[in-house]
Amino acid sequence: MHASGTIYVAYGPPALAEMRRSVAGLWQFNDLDVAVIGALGTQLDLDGAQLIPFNQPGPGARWAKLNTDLLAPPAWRHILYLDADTRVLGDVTAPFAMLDDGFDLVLTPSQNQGADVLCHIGSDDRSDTIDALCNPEPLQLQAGVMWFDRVRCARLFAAWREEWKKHHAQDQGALLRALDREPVRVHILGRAWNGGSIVEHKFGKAR
Amino acid sequence: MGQVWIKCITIVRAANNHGQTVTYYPGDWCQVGMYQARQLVAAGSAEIQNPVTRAQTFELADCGVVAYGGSRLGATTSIGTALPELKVETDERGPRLAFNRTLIYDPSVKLTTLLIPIGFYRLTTGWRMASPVIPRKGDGTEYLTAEMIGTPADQAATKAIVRDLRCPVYDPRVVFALQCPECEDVIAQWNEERVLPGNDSRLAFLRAWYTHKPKMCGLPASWYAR
Repeated sequence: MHASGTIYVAYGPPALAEMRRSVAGLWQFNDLDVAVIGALGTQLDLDGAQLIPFNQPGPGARWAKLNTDLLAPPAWRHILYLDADTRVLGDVTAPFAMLDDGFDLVLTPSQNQGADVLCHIGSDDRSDTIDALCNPEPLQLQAGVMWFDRVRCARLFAAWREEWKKHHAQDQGALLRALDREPVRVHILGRAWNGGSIVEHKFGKAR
Repeated sequence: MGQVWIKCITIVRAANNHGQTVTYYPGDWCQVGMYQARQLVAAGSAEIQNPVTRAQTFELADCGVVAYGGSRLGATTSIGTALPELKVETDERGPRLAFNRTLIYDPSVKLTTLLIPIGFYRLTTGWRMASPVIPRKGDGTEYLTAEMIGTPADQAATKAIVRDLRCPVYDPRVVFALQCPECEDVIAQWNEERVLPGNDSRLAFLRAWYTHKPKMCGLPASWYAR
């Protein structure tokens, strides 16, 4: 079993408040270390959580999120990334065992599929994604809750950053393009794990 | 297959609708047959901007369909009509990887034939398998999960391998697979387990895939014919 931990990204009072609520639930059901990427000098007000200062959050703090593999505490090999606006309602450790089994990335599909795929991102970003994949109907993934092996996903994250820089906006299109450049062993989970009974997701509340 | 629009990158000579040879210059658009489109794109002389149209020009020489299931003979007609260059085999012994890139297909499920070349293309970018996750709702926003199907014994056997049943299940009636040891192992294990009494074919496939872990490109429910 590799060393593991949970990482959040939180900039500004609304995101910090949401993150604290999420961590409270996480610690109620799980014995996991927590690190928070945020602005230098941020008061986390969480005993036992570690601040990782990073002053280049980017729009929507997505640049910080896309650097979690580089910024996470060095001892952690397996990382759970949680959006600040999540609420942990149960044990979230099973996917770490899936990483131990050999998967590289564990996450859930988005609710936006088919005609709605990538509907929330800019039209250029969307058409770039469909064009790059040669696939008008890819499976959209929700990257607000994800478990990953930082070593085996290093190339994927590097590609994700490169793809994100093309539009500097949302990250889901960039993730699909990056996955097509650097495929990894992905295991997809059901709604319970992101937007359901184990992890609730209050989309947008941290803004 | 019909003609497709290409955008010329270099000077291209192609026949127009009246059979006359016309010279097109860089930036010009023209319609050519599928075979010529493939040649021009491969040579860097033209590009196809519509991704779906581009997928139709993908080389399928190493691709084929292995149809199985009760209505397997129907596949020969439906896919053969839509994609005449694709080899289609039926096999009573069950699914196998007969081609470098194989679509294992049970024709009882309706598939959008336009997307078949795209499925095969998925296997050229590093993915070893591609398969749709089975929808629970018609709009594809919810998926069937492993806890919803199979007998308690089958579920217990599955949970022992995949650890948690709250995960979508891939549809073994539509599986694009590369001919490689990992995929061969998946198909062999699945063939062995899917026919055992009480076993659900979908859970058997999930166990086989999870055990051998070929890189799987999940596809959405919208891949089924509407």
